[in-house]
Amino acid sequence: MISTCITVAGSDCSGGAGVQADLKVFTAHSVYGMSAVTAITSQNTIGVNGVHLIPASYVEQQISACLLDVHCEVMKTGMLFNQQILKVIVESIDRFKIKKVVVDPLIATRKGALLVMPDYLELFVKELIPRAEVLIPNIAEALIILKHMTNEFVEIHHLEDVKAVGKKLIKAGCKNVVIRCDDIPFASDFFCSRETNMPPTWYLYVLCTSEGEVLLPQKWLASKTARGTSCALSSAVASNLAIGLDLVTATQNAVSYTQRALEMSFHLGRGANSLDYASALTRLPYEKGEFINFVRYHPSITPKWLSIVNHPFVEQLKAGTLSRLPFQKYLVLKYHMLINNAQAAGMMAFSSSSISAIEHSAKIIQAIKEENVTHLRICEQYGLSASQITKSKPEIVKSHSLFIHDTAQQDGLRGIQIAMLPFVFMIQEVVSQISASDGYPYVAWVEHCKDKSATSHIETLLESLETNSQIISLSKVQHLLGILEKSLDFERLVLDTSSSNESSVF
Amino acid sequence: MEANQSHNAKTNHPTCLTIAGSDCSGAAGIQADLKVMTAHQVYGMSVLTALTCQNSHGITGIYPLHPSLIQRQIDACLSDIQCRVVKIGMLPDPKSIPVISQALTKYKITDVVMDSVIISSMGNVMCETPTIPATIQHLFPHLLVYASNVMEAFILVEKTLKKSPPPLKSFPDIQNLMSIIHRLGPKFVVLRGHHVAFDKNMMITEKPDSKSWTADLIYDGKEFYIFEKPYNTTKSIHGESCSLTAAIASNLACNIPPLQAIHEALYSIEWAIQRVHKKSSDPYKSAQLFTALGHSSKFSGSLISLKSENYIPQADLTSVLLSHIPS
Repeated sequence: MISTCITVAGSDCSGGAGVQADLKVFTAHSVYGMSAVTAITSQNTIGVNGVHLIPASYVEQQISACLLDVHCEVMKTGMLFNQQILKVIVESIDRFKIKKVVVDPLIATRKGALLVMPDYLELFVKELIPRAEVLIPNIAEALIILKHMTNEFVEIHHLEDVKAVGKKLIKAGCKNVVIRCDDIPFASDFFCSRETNMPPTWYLYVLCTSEGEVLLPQKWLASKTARGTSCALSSAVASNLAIGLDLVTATQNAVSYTQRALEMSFHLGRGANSLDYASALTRLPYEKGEFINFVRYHPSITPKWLSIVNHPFVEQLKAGTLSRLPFQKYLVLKYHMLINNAQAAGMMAFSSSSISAIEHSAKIIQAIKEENVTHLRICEQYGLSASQITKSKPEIVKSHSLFIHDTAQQDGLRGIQIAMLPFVFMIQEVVSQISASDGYPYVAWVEHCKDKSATSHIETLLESLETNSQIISLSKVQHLLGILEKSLDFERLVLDTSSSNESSVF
Repeated sequence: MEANQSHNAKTNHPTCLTIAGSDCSGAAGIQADLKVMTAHQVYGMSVLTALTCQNSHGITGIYPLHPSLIQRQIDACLSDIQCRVVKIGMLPDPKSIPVISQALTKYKITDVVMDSVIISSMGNVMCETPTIPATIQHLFPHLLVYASNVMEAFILVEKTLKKSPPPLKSFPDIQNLMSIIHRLGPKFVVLRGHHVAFDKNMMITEKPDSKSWTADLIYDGKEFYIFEKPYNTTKSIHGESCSLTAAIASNLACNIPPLQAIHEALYSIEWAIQRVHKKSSDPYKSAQLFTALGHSSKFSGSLISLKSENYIPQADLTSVLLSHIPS
């Protein structure tokens, strides 16, 4: 069975928005797209200069022609223009029992200027929102809908304010909401960067469900703005739902696709850039030399990494206020996990069929051996004897051992390298930022982490990953991301265990 | 807005405009065209000439658009975005034709690919009778490529000559038909012959058997290029015709020379059709067709050139041709 999806929206002859953009997105996802046109607009990269409405009865005929013939469970709605057409859509959803409706409201500009009449908004909230599996407004639209539903208003200064809007919309009756923070760049601390004069870092998407919020930050691309991002995102969500993915995964994929289309956008006319809708086709989603950046900033990875960076343990480590006991626990756990990596490399050597592959594994083991010698010496400086470290194996270490062995068995060298990336990220993004001046309690450890010769194996690891990243398949990329996710979960668990008063690791 | 060519942004990204009807079911019209262009990584734009309600069972309604609306869409696209390749599909009434012709001249479109849509694959008449002579008079002089099937081409010539041409009985009759069309303006004429079966004597047969063959043909005014293949009794897939012209246009947009662009488009269509599961229902056959289409780099094969006066069917030609299609 081929995945199918129908879009109901206006026509943008220049191909950057409307049903034309939607069909391109569906095609990029190998989803068979159908379309019902609600209006003919003449527009280009500069703007819209004409709209010709289609009679609601003819919109209904188009929808019926499609859905009476082809099985279809996902509908995406875009610009619906008036109440008559909106009513036809609602009736069609009920008549054909569309399971998943993805709604791009298109009721306001990103600045908040209303695009529809109050009566339309009333009907939209009353009839279409209850039938929507997921609503995908920009932040201005979200606030308008919230006010209409609850008469409440939220000022946006921080990420938490966006989440609050999402929560309120869920509470007011929306099933799921993906909020796009168009035109609002966020700083690294997730405050609006324009208010704090900090440099823009994030473009925020927030998925809100009845079970909680999923943060999907993307790099802010200062030089890249383009028409059609709302079409791209909502159509990509619809495509992924049509393929059969759950909403969280569908949204993660859609955000990644949209970001990619924006990064690859190009200049065609004299106005806004045009998204590269076809960028997802067959091509790997990263350029040569960009694999590690791709995995590092993937929407499924970034939130996990941020939860590590913002962990109290790491905060205290950076501030120099981390007490000795949790730090000792951390060092012990790190020791055991390195041993696990060495064992996995040994397993790989055992099952390798060529001497060069065996040699490669041996080099990993040698590097880990040298690292551990230094590690133990540093531990002594912080009140840990070798016998204390090596005598017992905490439960978390056993779990990590199983994970790392499975990874080695299934994915070989590359899998282990991916699993070791959290260590690399920690060095590059956390420890290297610590200025270990007088009074900082763990100078020796920080200095060691910063020592180039001691961490040369990191460079080797990164180089090896990058070199081999052009010969893997798309599904392999997805699989490797899964390994990295799990590895980050272990990293988080290490921090939790180190910080916990109840746990004992030595 | 007055067009100003010197203000158009220069870009390396290939672009293509399709002027055609909308098929809501997604298997034909601008919908099919946009899918094919996207699959070729060409940025597609589309001007709607009509909205149709159709699916794999037929057409239940046609909603034509006023010529001034077509004009506005064309101007919106071509006054802003640089484009030299245009594909023309369904034109429901003759009033839109002068608008399109003037636009092609105004915006200096060099590569025009046309797929006349007189009768749909299910036999529905898609345009008013006066549309055909108007198309011949105003649009054919612009054409780089005219692509269609044998049945459609015969009807085109029939309505143009205002009297019946000799009935098609043999392979040379089809070649003659292509010559007539070529004299009407297109530099390249492409006919797909999947509706027509030939016997070993090159005569068209109403009772095809396992030895019957068919052919796709290209004519450039000097030579015929022939792709012979076994006759397949399977009905055509809804969307084949749109896909072919959209693929030709996409290849032209990627700066592939015309003859090669046509050749590769024919191969990609054939390759895609081979991959469609015969047991699928009609809509899903179309879906698989579009999924399988792609950039010409997917395919490989050499062009086979045969002079028309010396043409003799050979058994091994079929196997040579088909061997170029990746299995």
